[in-house]
Amino acid sequence: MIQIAFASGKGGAGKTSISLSFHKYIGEKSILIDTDVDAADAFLLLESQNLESKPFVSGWKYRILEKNCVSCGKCISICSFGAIKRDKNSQNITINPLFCEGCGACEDVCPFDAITKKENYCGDYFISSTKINTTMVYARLTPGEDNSGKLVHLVRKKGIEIFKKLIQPNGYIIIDSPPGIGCPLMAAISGVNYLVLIIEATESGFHDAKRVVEVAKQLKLPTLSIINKSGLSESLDSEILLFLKEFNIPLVGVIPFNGEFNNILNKEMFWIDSENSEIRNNLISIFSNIVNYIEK
Amino acid sequence: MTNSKKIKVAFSSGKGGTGKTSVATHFAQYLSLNEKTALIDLDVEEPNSAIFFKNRVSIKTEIVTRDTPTINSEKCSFCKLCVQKCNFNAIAMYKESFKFFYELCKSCNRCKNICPNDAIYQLKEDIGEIREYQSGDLFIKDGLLKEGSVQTKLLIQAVKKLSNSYTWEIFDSPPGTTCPMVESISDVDFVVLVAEPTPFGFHDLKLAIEVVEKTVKNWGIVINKSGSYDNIIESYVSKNGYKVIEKFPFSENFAKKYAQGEFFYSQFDDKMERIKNYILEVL
Repeated sequence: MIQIAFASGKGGAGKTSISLSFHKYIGEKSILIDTDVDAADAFLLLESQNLESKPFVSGWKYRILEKNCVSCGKCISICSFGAIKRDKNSQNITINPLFCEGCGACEDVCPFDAITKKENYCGDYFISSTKINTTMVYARLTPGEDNSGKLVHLVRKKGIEIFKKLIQPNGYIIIDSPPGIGCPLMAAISGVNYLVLIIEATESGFHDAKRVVEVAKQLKLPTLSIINKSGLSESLDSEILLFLKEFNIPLVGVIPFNGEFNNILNKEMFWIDSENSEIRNNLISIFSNIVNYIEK
Repeated sequence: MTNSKKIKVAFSSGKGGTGKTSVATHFAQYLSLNEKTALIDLDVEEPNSAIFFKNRVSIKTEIVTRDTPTINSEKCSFCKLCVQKCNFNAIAMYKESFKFFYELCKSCNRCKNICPNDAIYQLKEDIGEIREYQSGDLFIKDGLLKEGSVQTKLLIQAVKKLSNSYTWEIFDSPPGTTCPMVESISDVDFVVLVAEPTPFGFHDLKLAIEVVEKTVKNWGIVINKSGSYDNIIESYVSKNGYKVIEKFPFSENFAKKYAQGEFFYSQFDDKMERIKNYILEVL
């Protein structure tokens, strides 16, 4: 089982499009896990039928039991998140679920048993069959929720279970990562066998990719790289190459900037199925470079 | 609403890379020509706004910390009450040794509050830094989350606190639809959703609309990298009675300037003026 994650730091750098095309390239030997639980998009092009969907419950939300509450206000000052407020007119005390982190500090100080808790439903995960006869796992966190890292862990766990049931041991788990470098990203890439860094060849994209490299170093992940949208700035392109050399990150391919990529996407096609043979052949050679690198 | 009052506008999107930063930076730059304006980049995991202001001058950099608990072994009776009470499973104790998992700790202080022996005290943990710049008349502030830290929300809250008052506060939001994004729009007057006309962009726009409808009263849509997929977004928007305030075209020339971290929408001052007027009208 080889776990390979595509990450970029910046959004819109091509993670999902490249992950999807790589999944199609590897085919039935692989499953795809979309770990962007904020805004999962891979299923739009890939899903054929949902096989299983289950709620994701994590942590607690606390609530005031009005019948017991005497509005003493002890809970207000103990809350570290400013989630508990007293209404100026009615004096009633309420907990704002958006700010409640579920720690329970309020419960400890309430002298009247006026605080109760409920398990927090914060999203769903989905297991689906795909248009290319594979399986994919993805999830959707409820807007405003804060447990994305835990949900990412869960979809990766589900993905591994399915992989072990369905796929030969030398197959691939392909992970489409969320943007950023925080909790969801770290949950998506920690422990993978390979990280493929997608560097958008723009000043922002390069800045963001360097921060992913720093995180990958902390997590000790073997890292490969793809430069996307290259050719917009010659000086930046060569700066990126120097950086990769300095940090000893193998470059498996370069994808030139081309307005056509959005047209392919707008036809709801995978990049690797493009009618443009240059685009198609370039992707095939990049993916064969990745496989050669991993399986050498 | 008169211009003496403070107006907070957030530029957000579900999907990354739709052009939040592009539109927010140009809009803030345009406003700053005539009014007191601050540009606040709340994408603390990947802050990119300041990159576009080549003439920026750094005013201040400040380390941001949070409190994390630890145990004074001399006072601790190893009763494990803290372990039982921690809802985040951030404390482990075995015989007379203990370990905190700070990536799970939310700094709620519950362990410290309930310890019968007063054995828990606070350490400071660096979560990142806040940076302030001046570019011409524009004040710019952003946060840079330390690599390896998971305290995105805390750092966003710290970046949002301004010491001066501005007529316009322009927020560049992080991507997504969950906690960091909601934190970035939680107390703004208006949200501009920047939409990219692709199947992915359209799907994530719908998710973002779901969030803004629950969170703020006033919002509108700007289509960026306008193209063949616009009509799908526009028919959805008109069917639901939403509003596309403005559209920005797709061009390789813009992409080139963006790649070099240069301004490229300066020719669109008229569009910025229309966005501004729309916001003022709605408020």
